[in-house]
Amino acid sequence: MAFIEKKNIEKKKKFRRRKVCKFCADPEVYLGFKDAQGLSFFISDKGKIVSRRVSGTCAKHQRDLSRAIKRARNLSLLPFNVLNP
Amino acid sequence: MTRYETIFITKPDMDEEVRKNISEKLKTVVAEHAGAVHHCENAGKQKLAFEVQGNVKGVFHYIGFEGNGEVVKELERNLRLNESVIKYQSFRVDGDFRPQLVFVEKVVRPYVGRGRPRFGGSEFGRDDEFDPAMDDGASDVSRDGGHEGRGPAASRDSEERE
Repeated sequence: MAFIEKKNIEKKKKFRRRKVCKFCADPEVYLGFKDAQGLSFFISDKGKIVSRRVSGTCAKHQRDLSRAIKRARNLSLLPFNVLNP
Repeated sequence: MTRYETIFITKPDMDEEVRKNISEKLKTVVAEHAGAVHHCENAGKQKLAFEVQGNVKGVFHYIGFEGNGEVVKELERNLRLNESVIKYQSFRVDGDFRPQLVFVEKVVRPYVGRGRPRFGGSEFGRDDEFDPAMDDGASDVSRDGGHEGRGPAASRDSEERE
């Protein structure tokens, strides 16, 4: 049983799909604080900004993204935190 | 001359006339400081992400204008003095004005808890650009997401059982 589990884990690691930056893949997508719906994709259910490691966003776009989310929060378009999500 | 945009939120229970007066006032302020207003729009009443000064809803306004830094200073001073304005923020615009505001209507949050995706694959990249060279035969996991492999693993099990 333990052997099978180990094998499965190895398999998953080997064939993990490479993450693609959403904004590099489609440069026409608007990245700014005015599109709160689009930004809500990149915040966790607690309201935190999702890390680059998890979402696969490139460094440049992650900088723009975090700036946009912070601006949207200031205008109360997005929440700062979500209690009891 | 630099392009700026200001977004301000007013209280929801106000007459339309009062709201118009505020916009007119701001327009004259910009004109007095040798600026030019390009956009002045009302994005409508919307629910706020959190309570602001006891207001659950607010009316969003957008002003796009050209001018120097003094205009922004004076505009923000006027907004601060007005009691019916609950929030305001000014930005410098690089490029064209974009008055459309998109509000959160349907919450799409794939990341739960410690950032684990609720689903994987198609939402992150484009599936049509899937590179067949990347998968070495056992393509089930990688094509259907492969983040946690919950979905595809379940389907594979059912196939085996059959």
